[in-house]
Amino acid sequence: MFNKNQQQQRRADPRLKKCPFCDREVEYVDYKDYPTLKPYTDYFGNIRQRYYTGVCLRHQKMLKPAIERARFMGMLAYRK
Amino acid sequence: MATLTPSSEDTRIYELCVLLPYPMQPKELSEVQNEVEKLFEEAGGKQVAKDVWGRRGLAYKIEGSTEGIFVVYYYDLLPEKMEEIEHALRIMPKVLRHMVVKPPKDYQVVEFSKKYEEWKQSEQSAVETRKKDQEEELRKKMIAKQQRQTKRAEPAPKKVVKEVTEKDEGKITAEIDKLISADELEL
Repeated sequence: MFNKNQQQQRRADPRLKKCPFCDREVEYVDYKDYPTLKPYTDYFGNIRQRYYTGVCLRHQKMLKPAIERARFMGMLAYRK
Repeated sequence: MATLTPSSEDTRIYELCVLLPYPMQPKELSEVQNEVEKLFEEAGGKQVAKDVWGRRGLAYKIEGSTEGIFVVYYYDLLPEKMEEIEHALRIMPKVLRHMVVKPPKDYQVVEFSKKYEEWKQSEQSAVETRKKDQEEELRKKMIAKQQRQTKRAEPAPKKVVKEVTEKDEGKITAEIDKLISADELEL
């Protein structure tokens, strides 16, 4: 067991993740931008928590309406 | 593309996204688009930009269609007229979905039709490269395995052959005979 634990890779510290929107200095997340929205939804169509994606609170609040609008227009799924 | 700024203080910039069903004849498509544009013209709006996305898959069925055509308009319009236009759009039979959004200040128009196609191509190429890499890895593994198997198979029979040569046999028998004869004498 001890050896196994040593072999397993350690998970990166989630606090060290950087917000990808902050790097690009995004001021508005567009609902028409499918390629950028897609990775922030999981297999079932739910919005990924920012703990896992590393998005800052400011951009997560922009992301939510964008994804909801994209869902209404049929670009993203409500539920898979 | 240029940034969007309203022409006067009274008007606002509105962004309208319309979803039309895909199996549609080009005549009908242009007719529906003309109808939408007419609505705005009657209300005194000015078209700033227009982006037709073309055929695209939908995430879920909308009124029985799994594919649709997106059309995005940018209009300079008086805010009071927006309600009438929304009402008219809701009644229009060929429009599956529509949405009016007020873009933020200094919003730059991006042609998402081009961007989406570029993204799709890059995605496809990425998938192909991933497949190629996997195949190459498999090939390397197979070659390595074959080499190991040949290494194992080759050296084993050589040793056996060396031990059982005719010359060796003769030498061994001669030595044994000598030893036996010598021992017998001593005894």
